[in-house]
Amino acid sequence: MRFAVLAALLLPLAGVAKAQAIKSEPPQETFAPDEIAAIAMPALDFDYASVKPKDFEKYFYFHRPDTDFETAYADITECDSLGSGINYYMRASDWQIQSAMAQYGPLAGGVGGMIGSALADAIFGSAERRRLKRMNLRNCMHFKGYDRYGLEKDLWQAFHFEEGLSRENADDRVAALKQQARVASGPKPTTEVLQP
Amino acid sequence: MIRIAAIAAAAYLAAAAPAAAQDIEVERQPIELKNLEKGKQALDPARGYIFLSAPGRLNAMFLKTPDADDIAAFEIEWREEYEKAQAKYEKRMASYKSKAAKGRPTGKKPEEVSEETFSIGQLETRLLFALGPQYVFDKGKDASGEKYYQYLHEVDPGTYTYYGPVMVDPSAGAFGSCYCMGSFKFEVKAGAITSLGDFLTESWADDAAMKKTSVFFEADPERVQKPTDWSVPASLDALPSVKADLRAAGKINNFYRVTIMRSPPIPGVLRYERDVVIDVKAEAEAETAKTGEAGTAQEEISPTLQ
Repeated sequence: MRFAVLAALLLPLAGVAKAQAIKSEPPQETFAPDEIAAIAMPALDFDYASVKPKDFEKYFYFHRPDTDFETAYADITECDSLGSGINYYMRASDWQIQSAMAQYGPLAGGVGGMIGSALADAIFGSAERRRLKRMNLRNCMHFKGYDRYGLEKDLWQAFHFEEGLSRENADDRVAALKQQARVASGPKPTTEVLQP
Repeated sequence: MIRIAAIAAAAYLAAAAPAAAQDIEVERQPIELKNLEKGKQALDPARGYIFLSAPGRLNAMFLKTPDADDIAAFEIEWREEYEKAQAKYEKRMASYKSKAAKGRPTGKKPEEVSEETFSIGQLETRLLFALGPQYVFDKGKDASGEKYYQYLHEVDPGTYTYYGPVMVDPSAGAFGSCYCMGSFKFEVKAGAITSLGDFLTESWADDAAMKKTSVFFEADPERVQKPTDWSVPASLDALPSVKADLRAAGKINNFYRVTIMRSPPIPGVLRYERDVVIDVKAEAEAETAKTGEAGTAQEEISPTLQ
């Protein structure tokens, strides 16, 4: 039975793989237009001059022109997973994880997937974890062609989460990622594009 | 991929008869020149070998592609662990119900164990291993006075993906960067030394290629660009040496929660369209198949003196 689930999941992947592209991502989630419209668009306007450029090292968001919500959500989820050590990509042997994904979405498959290290965390601390995640997000989203824009801290906190030693609640994580996808696929920001 | 699923299913069915779960790991050992010379170690024609060299000590993590045996063993283990967890759940649930029926404090309701969510982790993490920085095969200086550190690991024959310069200390955690967003793989055949030479130093890549590995790459004006040296020392001539036949490998999970990056694009092997990994060799092969030209065989390299 589960192998049937695996085969069914692999079929759309095989269909996606065109030319000689190597695709490992699970199939994109689809959303009805009213579901997308129901995701609140976060406030992005702030007094640019009042924020120190250094703050943009921590507080930033992404945008890519001509990108639909579903693509942006898949990209942001992928980069959040990679950045946090949550398992995201499908391997041929991940049948039980794929099965979980089919029912609960990609994040379910990552539960318990990370190899933690209490000692490393004790040495380097939560701030280091957060720094690494920011670096990972910047790399991953840059590879995908998204531009990075700075944001004022309070506005940023309204639809992002810091993640150091603890894990963000799964529901809150999804809600924040959806809002980030709304922004990433929304109107082009008028502020300066930052270094990737 | 569907074929793999079919193999997995077939392997599971074949192995469904009671069998003890076996350890799923890459059986490997570092080989050292001094041990070969003293006869403490010998090259085994039934085993595979990965050879690496660099001007300094290396640490490199590899991921073996699970074969049908690995997948079948993983399935057996999953089944055994699932059944144990299920039995435990049923026992706890019976106790919970019994207490509830008697009006006694029940504590938290046991969490249901289901086939859909029960996990014993990812198979891939069992098949990852790091090579170096210790256990060098040989080290010294070459004719031009350049330092070299060579590594030789005996491994199970199979396909290996370079996971990146990641070092794992079981007590302290993982350090380094994974090539999670694009890497390369190569086959290690039994009875031959598969040489990566000094490819992992990435001296073959120019700054434009290195900039594609990470937004945090900073060009080093002192970095010397030179072609890969695939040579293998003459002391290893007991087995033939082959240059690793590199192929593009797709994205991999960030199992150790380290920083992510990707391999520089490799001419003739790997390129990127945004974040999508493109198998350039497969493109060329598809083109060759169209035009009917013959493919190239795996290249044999002759041992050289260091």
